[in-house]
Amino acid sequence: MSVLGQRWGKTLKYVSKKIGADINFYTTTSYASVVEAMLGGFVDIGKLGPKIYLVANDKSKGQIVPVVATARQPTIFYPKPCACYFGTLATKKGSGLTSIKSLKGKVLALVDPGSTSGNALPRALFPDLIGGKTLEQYFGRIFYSGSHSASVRAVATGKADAGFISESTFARVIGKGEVKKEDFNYLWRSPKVPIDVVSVNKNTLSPEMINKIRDAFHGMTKTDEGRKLLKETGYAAFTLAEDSTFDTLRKILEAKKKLKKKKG
Amino acid sequence: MKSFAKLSLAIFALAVIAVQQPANAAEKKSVTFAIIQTE
Repeated sequence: MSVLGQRWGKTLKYVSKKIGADINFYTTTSYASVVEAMLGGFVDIGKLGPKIYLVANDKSKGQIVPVVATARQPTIFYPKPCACYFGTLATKKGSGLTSIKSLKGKVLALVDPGSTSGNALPRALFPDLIGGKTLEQYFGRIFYSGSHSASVRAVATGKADAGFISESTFARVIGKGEVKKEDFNYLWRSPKVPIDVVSVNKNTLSPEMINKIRDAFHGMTKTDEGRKLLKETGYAAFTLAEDSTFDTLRKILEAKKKLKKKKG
Repeated sequence: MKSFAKLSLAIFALAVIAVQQPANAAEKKSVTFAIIQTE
């Protein structure tokens, strides 16, 4: 059995009992195949990453919708289980850079041109806070560090005055003992950006079945068996999800598309 | 769509069709759940 099969097998058996239907489980490495199979009516439920969910929702004209999201364990930045991540803008404590205004003309570390959270997110959302200016117009110099952890290090060592960094990676770097949370000033936090969702196909499932699926996953934290199974999948909970949760991501991806066009 | 993705889709769809029971949306006795392996 595949690793995913081991991870999900018992949970899907549990859900199967709750919804009163067998669940045929497939894993694939192709994003396109799952979306096409859902559009073709061959797949009823898909666990989709956020970007691929948006493709599925768009291509199905709103017939593929999320029911629950896979919530991660709490971190030192966010103490509740959340099917989301946040971007943060950090500077080094003692640098005197304690406000967004103080960063004008300074050196900024982004992650990678292709990164959603470490590039597209600040480019899409931050201009609202700096009078509509682009990051290039506001900061003195911008460089790509290569990874979120490298951005943490760049800020910690003074190579960058500030960095836009995903909080979950920040928490991991702190967890490894490389830096301490209190070594930094946190000047801005992005809105919630969603992660993976369990999505259902309204073309192949009745509203009753969709409700049963949603309730089965969402109710797992309420039973001993469910809680035990959640531990096995590594998630804190399956939280309720709806399409509007993805609006922030839509805005970020729109910005990313514009960046690509500019380059091309 | 790239050819490898098309091939992958065809194999995946065939596998699903092979086990899926003909049932309308309200009477499904089995549902199909797919996960994308990204790890």
